[in-house]
Amino acid sequence: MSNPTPSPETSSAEALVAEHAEYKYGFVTEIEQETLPPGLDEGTIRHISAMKREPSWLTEWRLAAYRRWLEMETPVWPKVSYPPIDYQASSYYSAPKKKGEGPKSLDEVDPELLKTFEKLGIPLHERAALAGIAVDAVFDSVSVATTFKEKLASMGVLFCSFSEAVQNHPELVRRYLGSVVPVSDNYYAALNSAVFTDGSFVYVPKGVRCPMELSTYFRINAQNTGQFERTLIIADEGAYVSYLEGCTAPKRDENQLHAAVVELIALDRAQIKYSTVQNWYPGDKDGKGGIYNFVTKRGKCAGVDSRISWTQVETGSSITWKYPSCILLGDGSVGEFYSVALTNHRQQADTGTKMIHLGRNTRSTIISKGISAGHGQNTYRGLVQIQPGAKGARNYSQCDSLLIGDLCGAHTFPYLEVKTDDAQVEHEASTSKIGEDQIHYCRQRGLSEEDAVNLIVNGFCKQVFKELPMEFAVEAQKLLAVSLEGSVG
Amino acid sequence: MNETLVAPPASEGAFLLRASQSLQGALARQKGDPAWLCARRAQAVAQVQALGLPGPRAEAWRFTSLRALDKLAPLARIGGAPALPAFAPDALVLVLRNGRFDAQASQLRALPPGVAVAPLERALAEERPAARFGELARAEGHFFNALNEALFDGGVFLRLESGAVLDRPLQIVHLVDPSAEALPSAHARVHVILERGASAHVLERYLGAEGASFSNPVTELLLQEGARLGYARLQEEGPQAIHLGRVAARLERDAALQGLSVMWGAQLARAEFHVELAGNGAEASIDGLYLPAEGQHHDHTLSLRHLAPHTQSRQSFRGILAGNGRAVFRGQVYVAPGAQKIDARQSCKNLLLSPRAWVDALPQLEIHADDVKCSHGATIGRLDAEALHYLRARGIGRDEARALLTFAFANEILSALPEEALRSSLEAQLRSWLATHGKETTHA
Repeated sequence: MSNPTPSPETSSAEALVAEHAEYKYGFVTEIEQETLPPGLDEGTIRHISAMKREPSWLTEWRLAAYRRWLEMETPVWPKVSYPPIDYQASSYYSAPKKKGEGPKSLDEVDPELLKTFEKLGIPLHERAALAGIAVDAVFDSVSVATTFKEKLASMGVLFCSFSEAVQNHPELVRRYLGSVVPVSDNYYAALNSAVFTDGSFVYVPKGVRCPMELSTYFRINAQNTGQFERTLIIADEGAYVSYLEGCTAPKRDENQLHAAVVELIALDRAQIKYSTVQNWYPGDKDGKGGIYNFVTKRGKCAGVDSRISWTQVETGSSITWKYPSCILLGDGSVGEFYSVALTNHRQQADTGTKMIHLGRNTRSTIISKGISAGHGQNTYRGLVQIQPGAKGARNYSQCDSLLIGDLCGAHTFPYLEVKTDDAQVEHEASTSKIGEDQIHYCRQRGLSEEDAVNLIVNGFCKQVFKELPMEFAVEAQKLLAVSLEGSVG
Repeated sequence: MNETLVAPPASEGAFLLRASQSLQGALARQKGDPAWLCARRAQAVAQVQALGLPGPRAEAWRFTSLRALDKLAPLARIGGAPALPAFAPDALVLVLRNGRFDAQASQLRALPPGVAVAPLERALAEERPAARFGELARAEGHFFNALNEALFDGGVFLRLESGAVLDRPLQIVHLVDPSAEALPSAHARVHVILERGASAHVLERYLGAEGASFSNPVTELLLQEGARLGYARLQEEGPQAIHLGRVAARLERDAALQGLSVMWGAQLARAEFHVELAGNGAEASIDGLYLPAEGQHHDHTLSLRHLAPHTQSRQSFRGILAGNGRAVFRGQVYVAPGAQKIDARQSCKNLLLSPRAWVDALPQLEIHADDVKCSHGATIGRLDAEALHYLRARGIGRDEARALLTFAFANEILSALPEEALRSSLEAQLRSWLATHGKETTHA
């Protein structure tokens, strides 16, 4: 932003812009890692399960998922292209080497690790209490630290790594795991069910309003590994929780796979708000490297008047394949999806949502903003399904796309399936570029072209940003500006 | 021709089996065709065999099942030949009976200068290079286009020379006549060329009998520079008919197509429109109205491809569904890389009159250029309770208020029609449809 008007004469301008556009989380942490050799078979899965001292039902569950996965085919319907993935070439478990037993408190966590999260701006230390966010940090495959555990425990809120939940709350895990995303749901969900290593677990008991935002920070560090985390959030009757998720990875020339599964369950009158800022390494400007982000996220509004709200800002990953969805089962339940997806350089995103209306008087809102720049390809793909029993169902969808540059693409594929007359479904979509008059207006008032574009893009995304918690909204705006650098002028 | 080529695999359904038998017959019959057409037909036969009937896993057929094709009973001779409607003595009428040009029933007196109508095979023997036959509705990769190309027998060719004007509408009446053959099936082929600056109005009507039938018509429209075509397609086939038709158009520089598709009949009907906006300044607008009632399935599948800059497209569709009627709308707008200054709009609105009706709406945008204005909107719902209340508060009875609002909803499409005669006959048809199907269905 130091170079307000890149003109053709200033040959260094491009270099400057390119430097700015660098992915600033691309460093690698030098830390001793315990990594399984590459390859995937039943032995790998048994090994992961044994290493995590899992009960036998979970081992069997994983193996069943693996066998199912072997029979499934890679989905080809998304509008993305990439070479076939060799699932035998990557490693399915990587963890920072433990010194004896696991860390008892944050003081025992490897300082290198803490530094890493410090660099990422994640306040792991309790001194960061001001931030008021409880964080669970996942480094490659395992969860390294969870802050504010005691405070949350005093209110009955369980917030811990998935592995701990398996040890300490097996009944909850067993009851809900796979209840929203069955193992056979799709190719990547089946793979995740077989090999998932860690993730976060949240249970908010009846009537409790979680006093702080819960947050997980995912970091891929090791080379040749995939990250397969599993998140399970249960809000019991009348409970409320707001959950934030952030992600980064080092710059590498090879593509790395991230195939997570997130399941949310909201019982009667419960509310879950799930926000993501996804900033996995997007690859360089020629499309080399980057994360394949193939994620299944789904929430079940199981109870009456429950509410699940997804907000996502997707700026990273070389390929995004992600449809955070809501199953609106309880009468009067509400599903929301707010999304900003940006693709620059050679990034490809095929993202959207599914709103499945089953209960009476269920409502859903979809606001999707896609921004394409460079050679980026951005696709909104969504389903609104009103089942015959969903009397009085209501949906409103709005999908807008913004094009910056003439080499990118913006695509919209909504599916509206309505099987009852007593429903109201509305869908609107528009695609356009930033108006020259808008830019001109800003430039007249002394803004550089780049600042003008940022301003307009922020305005375009405002409907979504206002759904984010404040710190995240600020972060998202900055991220968008960085991701767009080099795409104007 | 090697006969084993057309033998169907043992596992295929009844429809494919019968199609293969027809294909064998067709290959034996085509002696009079020019050599290139014989070759094309052989290729089309190979395509039919290679592709097989599309199943529900094919994305294009996910919401429209073709199972009804297998149940189509041969030798269904209910009702006999349908009667042709009465035409005004000065009307221009072209009749195709089971896909074959019927010169006796047609009225083609006093065609204006520069307008020629000819049997398709004969015309193709002379004009093929200019005609671009089969280039718009391609047989490659499309089962039903290939089936049509292999089986069409006696289609028509309409050509307007440069600057010619057809000032009266030309009606092309397609008749499925079950008394004519074992399985009433029609693979009509209509090929229209409007040369530079020519202008015409063409109306295609699909009429059918009471019994089961299958029609698979293809219409190709080539609009050269500055040509203008008003085109309406009315599907009024019988209650057991299966109708799967395509219109493929190519618009060159500054050409304009004003299209309309109305569906009343058939148990299963799909109309596909594939429009290429290939020259600067071309404009296409396709409107549609579909009214599936009990036991009917209506599908509109459209693809508007903006291949050149400064092109415009509009799609405006309305659906009214009664009983367990089902409707599918799949409308795609594609903007090619480099096709700047595009304006494309699409809207699809659906009114459900019954709790058992289903709609699948799939408006799609695929855009590879940045200087564009593209939008789509889709709505699905019941009559607006407030609008009903407003009318009832003014002393209008419930049924009458509903009929008024429903009529107005559909009439947004019909009222835009420039031709008075067509508009008023469609409006009358709409009123009678509403009188039969427009009643409120009680909620379970």
